[in-house]
Amino acid sequence: MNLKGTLPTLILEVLVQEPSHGYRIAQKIKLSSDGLLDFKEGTLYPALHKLENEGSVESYDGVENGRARRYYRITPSGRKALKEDRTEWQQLSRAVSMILGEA
Amino acid sequence: MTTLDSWLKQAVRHLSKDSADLVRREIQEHYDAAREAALSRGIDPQQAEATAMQALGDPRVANRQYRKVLLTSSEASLLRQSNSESRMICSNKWMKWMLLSTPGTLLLLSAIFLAMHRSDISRGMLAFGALMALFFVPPFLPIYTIARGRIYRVIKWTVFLGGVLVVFGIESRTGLWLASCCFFPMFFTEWKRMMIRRKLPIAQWPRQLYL
Repeated sequence: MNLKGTLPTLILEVLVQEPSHGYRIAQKIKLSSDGLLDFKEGTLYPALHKLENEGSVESYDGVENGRARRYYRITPSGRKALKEDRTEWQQLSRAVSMILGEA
Repeated sequence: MTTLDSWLKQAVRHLSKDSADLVRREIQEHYDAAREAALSRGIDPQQAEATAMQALGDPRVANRQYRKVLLTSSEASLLRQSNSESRMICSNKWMKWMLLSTPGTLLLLSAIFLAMHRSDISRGMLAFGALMALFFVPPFLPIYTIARGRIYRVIKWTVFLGGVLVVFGIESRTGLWLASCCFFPMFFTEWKRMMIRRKLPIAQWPRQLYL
């Protein structure tokens, strides 16, 4: 399924639960959608950097199973952006459902 | 050369050294994690590597997206260059006084010529002095917040357009084209700076990025 434009919101949704590294973020998005939302993982990191540049997430170095990892966590500004995205998405979803429901 | 190496080589094309190192590190971490996860599911090593590579997708698409969010080599070079220019100007006492006094002198001469009813010379000196003041004085002013930077940039471009109007009068449209051609390197640098501002978190902005 095409994820264009929604990936940053999905990333923020994963990070609002707990700080995570790139691979885990990708897996959580895929698992949470029962594999319906599939995307190329090479495009995950540019989206993460964009969110970092905007101040929605911040990165830090951590260790998992003895291996260095770059972790990402959501910032207060990211939480605010996520809240707005959720509202926007719910409105869009309701509007599309109304149209499709009438068809 | 392994497949991951060739993927990375394409993904980091035209990125600055620091950006390329960052991409290499995060993609290597991601690849290792994906490969290990596949191995733990009982997939044979060769297949696990292929699965991890396939999940990364097209490196050219990744490169296009990386170039939108990370510094490219030309942007990093511009940043280095303007850093050293700024250091040179601010650290040299003679340079500092020359850059501060020349616009002032030009504005004073403009007033003198106006008093002598030589408005044509006076207008040119006013425009030239104002432009020099706008471009050379700011490194010495306390512009180190986003709001001040925005105010300065609005003033800068307003004065630039005002300068064109003062010098060319009713033929300002032609003058604007001429000025655009003459100042093209400056416009290009401004555009690059705008790109850099979008890519760097504010905490990492060097002083001249506010200007």
